[in-house]
Amino acid sequence: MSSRRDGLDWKNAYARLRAAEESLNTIDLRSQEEIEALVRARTKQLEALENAPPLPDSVDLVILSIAGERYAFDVKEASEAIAITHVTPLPGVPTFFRGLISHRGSVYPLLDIRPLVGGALVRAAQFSQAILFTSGGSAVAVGAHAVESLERVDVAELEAQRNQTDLSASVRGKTADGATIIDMRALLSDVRLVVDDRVSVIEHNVD
Amino acid sequence: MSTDRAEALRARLLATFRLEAEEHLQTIASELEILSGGVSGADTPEHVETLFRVMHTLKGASRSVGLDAFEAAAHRCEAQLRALVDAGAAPDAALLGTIRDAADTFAAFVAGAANAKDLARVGAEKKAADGDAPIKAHGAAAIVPPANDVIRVEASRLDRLVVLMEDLLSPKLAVAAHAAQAVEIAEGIVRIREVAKGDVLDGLRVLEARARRHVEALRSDQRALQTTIDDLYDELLRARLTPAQTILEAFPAMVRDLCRATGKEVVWKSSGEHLEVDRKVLNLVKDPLIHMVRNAIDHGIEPPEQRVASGKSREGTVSVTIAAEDGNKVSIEVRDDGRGFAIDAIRDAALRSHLATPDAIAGMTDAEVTELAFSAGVSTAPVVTTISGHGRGLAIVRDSIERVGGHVSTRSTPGNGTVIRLDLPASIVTYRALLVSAAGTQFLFPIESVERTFAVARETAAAAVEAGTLAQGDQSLPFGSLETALGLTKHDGGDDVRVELPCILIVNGDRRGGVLVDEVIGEREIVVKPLLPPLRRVRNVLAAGLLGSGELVLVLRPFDVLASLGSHAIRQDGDLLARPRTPSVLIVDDSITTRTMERNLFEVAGYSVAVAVDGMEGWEMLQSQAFDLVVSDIDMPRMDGFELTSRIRANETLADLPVVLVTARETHEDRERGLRTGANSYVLKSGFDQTVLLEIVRRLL
Repeated sequence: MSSRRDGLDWKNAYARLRAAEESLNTIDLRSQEEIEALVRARTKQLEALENAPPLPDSVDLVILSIAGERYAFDVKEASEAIAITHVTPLPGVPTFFRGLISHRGSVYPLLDIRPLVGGALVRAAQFSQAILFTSGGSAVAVGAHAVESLERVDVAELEAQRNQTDLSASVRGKTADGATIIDMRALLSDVRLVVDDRVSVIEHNVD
Repeated sequence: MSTDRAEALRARLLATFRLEAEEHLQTIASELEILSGGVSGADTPEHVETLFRVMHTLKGASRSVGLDAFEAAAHRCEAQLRALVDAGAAPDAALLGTIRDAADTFAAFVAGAANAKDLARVGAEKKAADGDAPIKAHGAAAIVPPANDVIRVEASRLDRLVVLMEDLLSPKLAVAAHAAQAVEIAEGIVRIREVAKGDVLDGLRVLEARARRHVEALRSDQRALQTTIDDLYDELLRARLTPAQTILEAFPAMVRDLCRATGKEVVWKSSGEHLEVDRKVLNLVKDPLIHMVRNAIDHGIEPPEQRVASGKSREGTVSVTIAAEDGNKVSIEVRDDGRGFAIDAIRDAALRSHLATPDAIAGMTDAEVTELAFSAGVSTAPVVTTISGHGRGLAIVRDSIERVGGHVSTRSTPGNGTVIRLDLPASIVTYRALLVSAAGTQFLFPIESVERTFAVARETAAAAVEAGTLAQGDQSLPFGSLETALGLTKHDGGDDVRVELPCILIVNGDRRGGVLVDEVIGEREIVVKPLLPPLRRVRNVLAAGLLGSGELVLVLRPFDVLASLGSHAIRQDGDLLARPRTPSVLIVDDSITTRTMERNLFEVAGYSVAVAVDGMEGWEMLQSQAFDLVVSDIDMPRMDGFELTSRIRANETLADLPVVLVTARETHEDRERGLRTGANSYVLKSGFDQTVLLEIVRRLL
């Protein structure tokens, strides 16, 4: 401390210079091949860093409203948002299927997602808009009364919600203003969505 | 056939196989990617099944061209996938790796970069790999890719073009409507001009001239657009027409090889090769045809000595006949003069696969037993071979054909052979359908399912719906209203005072039935749109159909509608116009998890639900509230499900109340006891499937 009070800390300065000299001597001891290998390895590390996908620290959501309730979906999972002009009724399926719609030559079942994500299936006006989702050969349209806006949320925040609250499998969390964020991949995997009339009931039916 | 011609045919077959194998390998690659990417548990069986089917087809195709080593390799993969399908299990990483390696080797072989020795290593389970005998590489020389002298368009690209083309149908019709509106505007201007004076008159004359030019331009555009779109659409559909020969030419070699493998002697015959059919239809029937011909040789045709001993010619005959039928339909018949369906063996196989109760199977007619051969899991083959024996083939045949509105029928005479007939629409993109309305909604029936339309007096119709049958001449037809068959809410007919009501007579195979509708609107050309998952199969609905107006209308499945006619007729309470109400279900289970799950399941499906925590509480609730059905556990405190069911059956008021027992008790004795006490259905929790439970409840209500 006394030498610092006097001005320059010569003792430490000499120590750093010795360390630097030793370090230079170590490098000089490496062969040209070793140095080239080191450079190649560092180049690869840099390339890997450059090519790595950016960290998904945020997710863009499309917000829609259904009978006053607000829901959000990752925009990357949605194919398109469309206006609904005609819905063909589809009898014999669960009531959350509101019918069929057609868009660009494909047919989509129109879903009222509320009962599938913990909400109530309250009778509501006809949907005027829909967001189309296709995944793994499945195709559904999520009905909405309005597609409101786009919003960005922090992934870490969603993860925290996921860990802290008892959410259903298809719900990722809530946005700051209360919209329920839907995990569409999970929703499309929900067994309740599957309509398959091929099951044989001979074994069970004793009529 | 000369050696040169045989070689030329073989070269062509190998080229065809190469193209086909590439398509199958693409499917395998995409399915592997899905399965490797962590597909959800619910979807896994479907993807494994797809892998199994594609591998099965690849095996058959390789056999058709005599690639024994390829076939053996595909068979090994198929066997491993089949085990998964049967178990409903997900593939582990090792198996996915095995199939991926197999696909790579197949691709290399097809590209000429691998040989039979490489194929011999494919698909072998690790433990068995070392002990496998080398497989004879007969006919398994690597395939040399054909010269690139044709332009090949991917089917999916052609399909996409058709889809885009269909998008133009609505604007085409819209332009016609716009032209008509423009004419109205021009005529309006003329009417105003006739009473106008001065400057206004001059202005209107200018406006009228402009309007007329506009109308002419619109009409001209409309004509051009209509002609071009119609021609383009026709050409596009025609581009998918392919001579039937493309699927038949592989059969002689396949039959020859099968004969070698089985020791049978068979004369192969085919006709209708030059008929041009939508390639989608041909693609659809290719695998079923291969399967049926293999079955005919493996199971149908007897060994030569046996044929001679029974007074038949030493050589059996297997033939495929493709013919154009009335109403834009195609029929395909596979005929053999072998031993016919082994009815007793099918009964045994159906019993083994628990397809129905022993009593039910014993009571079936031969024709009904023959139908069982088309159920999954029914195989009469004592040994699973590379040719057949998995018991899924005919089920796949029927499923494939019915998906496009086709129909499979079978005639089999013991000792004299079997005829399996497929009836298909010639094009599965468009077909003609009858447009009707019921409960205020329009529906379509495939035109081939409509025998005729007729009118019935209102009183007669009401009585027939109540009785469930309609007298037609000396026959009694199953009869019902379409809205009831579909479970629709009655549409308010307002001041409908018609004396007679329209009906249609629909047919499906041997079944016929009368359906009462609100209106028969007429025949229409429709563009067929398949329903995609999650709508795997919707009762009564075959597909969606796009009308020329661009409107989407449901195409009904005649088979289901006919089946619904009977069941609804039984439940008619004499009120033809009764409005359906929400059925109520009482769930009795001591597990809160099960109660919650079942409550959610039924509520989402549209039922009114109440729950009880044990049999005693359930019984008390039944005394004070009316329910349409009870779903009950068996093992519960205070009163178990057996006791609850017994009390319900013994009670005069509740005796007819349907009861479904959902239980973990899997023994035969428990099941028997459950049914003896009067349960309508006994569902095992181990094999619990929400769809099955909903289906059972739906049928009971």
